[in-house]
Amino acid sequence: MNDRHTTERGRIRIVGFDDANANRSDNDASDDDDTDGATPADSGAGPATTAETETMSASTLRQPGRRLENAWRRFRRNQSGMAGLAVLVVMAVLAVFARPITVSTTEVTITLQPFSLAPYDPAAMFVGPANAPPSPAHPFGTDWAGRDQFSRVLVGGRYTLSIGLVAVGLALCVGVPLGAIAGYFGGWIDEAIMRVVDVLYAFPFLVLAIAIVPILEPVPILGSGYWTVVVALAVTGWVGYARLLRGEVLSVREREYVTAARALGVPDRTIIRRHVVPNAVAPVVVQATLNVGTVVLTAAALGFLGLGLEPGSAEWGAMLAQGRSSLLRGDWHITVFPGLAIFLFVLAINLVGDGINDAIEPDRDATDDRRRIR
Amino acid sequence: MAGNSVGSGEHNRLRRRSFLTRAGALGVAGLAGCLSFDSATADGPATELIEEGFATADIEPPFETTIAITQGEERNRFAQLLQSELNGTGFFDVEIESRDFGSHIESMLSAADTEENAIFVASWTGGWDPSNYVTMLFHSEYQTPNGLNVGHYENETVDEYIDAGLTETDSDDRVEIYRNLQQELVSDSPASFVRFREATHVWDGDVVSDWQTYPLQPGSYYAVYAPWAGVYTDLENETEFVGDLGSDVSNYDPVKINGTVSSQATALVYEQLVGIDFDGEVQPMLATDWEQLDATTYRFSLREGVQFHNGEKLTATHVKRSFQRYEGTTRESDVYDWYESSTIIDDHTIEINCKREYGPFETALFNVAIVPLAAIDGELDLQEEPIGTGPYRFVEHESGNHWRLRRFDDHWFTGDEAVPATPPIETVTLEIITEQSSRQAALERGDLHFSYNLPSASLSDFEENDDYGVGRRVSGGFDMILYPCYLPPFSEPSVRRGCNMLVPRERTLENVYHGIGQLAYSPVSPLLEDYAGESFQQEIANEYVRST
Amino acid sequence: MSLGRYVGRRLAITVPVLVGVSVLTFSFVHLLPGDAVDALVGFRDVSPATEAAIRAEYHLGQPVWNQYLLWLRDAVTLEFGESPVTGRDVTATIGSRLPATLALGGAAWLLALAIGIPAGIVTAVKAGEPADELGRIAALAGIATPNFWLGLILLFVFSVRLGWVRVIPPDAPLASIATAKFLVLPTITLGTAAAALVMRLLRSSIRRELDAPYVTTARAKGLPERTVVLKHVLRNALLPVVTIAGLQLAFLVDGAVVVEGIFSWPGMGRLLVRSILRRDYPLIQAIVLLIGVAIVLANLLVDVIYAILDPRIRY
Repeated sequence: MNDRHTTERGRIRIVGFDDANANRSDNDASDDDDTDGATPADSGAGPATTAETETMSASTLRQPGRRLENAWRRFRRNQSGMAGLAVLVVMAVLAVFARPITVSTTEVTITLQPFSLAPYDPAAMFVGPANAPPSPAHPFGTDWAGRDQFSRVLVGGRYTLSIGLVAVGLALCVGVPLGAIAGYFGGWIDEAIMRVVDVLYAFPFLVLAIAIVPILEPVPILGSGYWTVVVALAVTGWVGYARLLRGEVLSVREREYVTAARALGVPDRTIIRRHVVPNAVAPVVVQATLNVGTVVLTAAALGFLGLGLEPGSAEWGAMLAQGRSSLLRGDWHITVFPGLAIFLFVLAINLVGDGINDAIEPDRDATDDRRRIR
Repeated sequence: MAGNSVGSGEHNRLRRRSFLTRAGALGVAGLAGCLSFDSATADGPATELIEEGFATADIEPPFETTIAITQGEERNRFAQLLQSELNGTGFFDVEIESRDFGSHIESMLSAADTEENAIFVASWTGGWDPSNYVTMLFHSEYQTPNGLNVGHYENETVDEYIDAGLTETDSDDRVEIYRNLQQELVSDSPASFVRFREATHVWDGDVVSDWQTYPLQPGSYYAVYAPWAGVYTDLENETEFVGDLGSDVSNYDPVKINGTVSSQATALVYEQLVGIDFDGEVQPMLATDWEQLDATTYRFSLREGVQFHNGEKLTATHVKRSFQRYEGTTRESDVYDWYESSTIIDDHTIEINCKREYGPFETALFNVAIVPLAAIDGELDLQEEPIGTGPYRFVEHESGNHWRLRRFDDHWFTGDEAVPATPPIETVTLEIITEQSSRQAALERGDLHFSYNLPSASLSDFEENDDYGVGRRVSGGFDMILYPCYLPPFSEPSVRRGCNMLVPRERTLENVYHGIGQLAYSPVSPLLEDYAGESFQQEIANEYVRST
Repeated sequence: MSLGRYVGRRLAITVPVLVGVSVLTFSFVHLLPGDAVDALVGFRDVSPATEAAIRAEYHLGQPVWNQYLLWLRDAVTLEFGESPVTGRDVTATIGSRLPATLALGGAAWLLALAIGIPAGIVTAVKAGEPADELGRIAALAGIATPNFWLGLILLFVFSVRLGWVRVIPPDAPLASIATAKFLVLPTITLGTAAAALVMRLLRSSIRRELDAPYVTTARAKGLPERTVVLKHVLRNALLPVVTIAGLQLAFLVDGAVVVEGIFSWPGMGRLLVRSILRRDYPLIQAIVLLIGVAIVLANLLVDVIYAILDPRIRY
């Protein structure tokens, strides 16, 4: 995990261009076009410097393609990260193929996905005895209305995955641009946006959610349930990303390539979009990945308070919350399976997030963190 | 070149996969509700009625609507069962919307004005008089927001019956009136009645040997000591009784009380002129005797030697001014709906005049607490400390934690064969527990001696357990579905009738409430046996609900 | 810049933030559908005169502007008026619930630090070994468990099945052994996620610090590893933990709402939820304002402490 072990000896290391070295050594490892055995690393100072300058200039222009490749390669070496990713992929596949996906208007019905892994329709009631423990016919048992838990857990993945991704996605769409603008332009724009961020930070999420949900209810498009929860989560989530990104942007904007771009007359908009944000976005990506997990847990807590999705939804958190009285009765199967599902999902997401963290920024300077956060 | 150009193949695969996930999930989430239905065919009397109504109202099935409920596990489940039934006919496409209590009430009050497209599930608690069950809900004068006639239902016959019931004092005639009224209401179906609730009391058999279950929730704790009803409870090896309350007590002042829990907590503190006992009979409380002088005047003899917790002695002035105190408050209709004036004859005699002949007179008296003059004059704030004449006086209320009462030694009761002069229980502590599972856990562990609101699923377990006593009585509450009569197709009685036949009453009672409660077909609770006994309910069911 | 100027500057910035918090508090309460009078009166039949009188009593007829200013003026002197629902003084109500909230929140926070810091140090130092893996998995498990589920399970196992602890708070003063015993389960429920976060943060922070030159120097000087870590590295590595200490306040409030319900703990979380449901305006505003101000001030304090400890950030 520590890229300081290079084969180059006696070289002066210049901190801040680590990515250049990483790119170089990785390129060397994978590039078949290189001359056999004559890697620049082993030769003397001359060709090394030239090669280094070349790759340096290439990487100072920041080829995201290359960088992503390298990050992916590093990620692949991380066992727990890969395990987490595998779990997520399996969950996603199960969610997609759980029940058929169809699009229909009044005349036409298009089936996007015809497979059905779930044996029963998750909303079909009384397909089995109520509150039955796990059995061959119903591997996860049935709930109070005789609905098959196995089918519901499978289909529930859709809600969980989509809520997590959509809520975080929306929050990013708001937080990243605002954070970038604040960090890049500085001055009163920065102050204004950061004060708004501070104000919102003073409200704990559930306080805002409890208030937002009844406010959003009368709005026609939203109604209760899915979109209300997602919007509530997004509205409160963007704040963290804005602040984080702003901090990163503050240091990135001092980099030479930005100055160069400015000098060339590239418009600010393009600079932000193409140069600043891609280089600053790394910790935000890590945070966002981790937040998918917290978002799912928060949606579950909202379900517990009764503010969540439409009653009867097969969402894991809702199933967990609605089944809580059965815990005391001894019907363990009603809460254990959705609970395990959430647990696995959040665990996997966190492993992936950690993996991404290690893959993208192996050597972050801790002292800069504090300044960036304020 | 630099920029966000898509890089290597692996990168592509990653994006494609997550795109699919997103699309699939979003697709499902966004299209929720677009299930394919059985086509809308009429294959039974219920659906035929609905089809007829749709045709008259010129509506194309499926009709999209919402079931609006408040939060709560059982409410939730009932809504799901109803949704499944309605969607199954093919005539409806129903969604469920769960709101917090405040928003729910809010939307019910404004529903007709905003023409909201929703079916409301609500609970109503009547009392000891049949008028409590119908007036606010179905009389055209009480259309929201001045009452709870949410659907803005208007039916002259119904109005006539309700008015007649209120002004008739002969009990046989009243029974006749209310039976006709119920027939009319069920055949027109402005609401569907689903289940009559039961009061379910569970107590720790080791501590509480015998307990009487009062059917109405505000009176749950009368069993502690109610000499006027001939009931009291003794504890074994204990002088403190620990019960529970489902939510925090909010207001202690009778003219401001706005919740069942507050009434429940103060039931042992305040007293009234008369009381309705555990069998529904009127008993003297602060009044010893009364007679009806003419159609609108009654003379009461007041009990002597009654002391308030603050030392004042009860006189007719207290009674008169306690009544007058309701004017200008949120609960003024409790009194001023029928009360005209009162005349003090002497210290212990008072005459009360009603605006008109009033059938539920005695029941209404049971609602008016008599309070000390110090409170009426403003020296004492009842919102800080409730003071009455009851057998227990207020000790403390730790917000969110507990409510405590202690025996009042100067209570007026001098004892008889049934009930001792001094209440055996010295302290009554009611713990405030909002989470139902916690309530059950507390009872099981012994932290509570008594609970009145356990989850219905656990009740059978307690019944089988000899260590616990369970009391069940049909109470004055019912669950109902209110139709938006202002909105087609629900403006058509046939649609409402049809839906009424489809309501999954048996399933709900069985699977959601685990058998606790009784099937309801008409509004008045079987608690009032004369007006809505078992056989009457069956008649109604056979005629209007069961497929004939 | 000097410490004094830095603090002054941050203080100056805090003022508009506080104003913003107050405006937001006031406005979203008014965005809630329905108002206190509707909630109070409900469907009861009251005369229009009565309704008008109630409205006037709570200033509800006035333009929103005025209401805000009146409220703000009173809030500064901690006078939040009477609750229309209970008729009792709002400040007194909050005052009665505040100690309980502080007790639970404080205990959870201390637990988070007491477990998170040692665990973070151990897993950082023993990186790669089984102890580290175990620690990481435990932390992830702590984060991934929904807190209400954890609470219910703990309640079920330790209170109902084993009977070791009460289900509802004992009838004893806050600062007593009985209450402390009762608080164990809620504190664990509330503090687990926070402890896990602290542990992870400290671990990555220490690992970063261990690469710094001064560590190499210290080791070269021959100092035992223990001294290096505990005496030098820890001081620097704790800084990010200090940073999030302010944010933790918000997380704790979130968790408290749920935990208080399960354990029937009379804190402010439940009070807040109830007051929102009942549209008890004055109470909602008072609590939310209190929480908001507390968080802002906590963050300010954290900034100042950080500035004292690390002069580099005083740009």
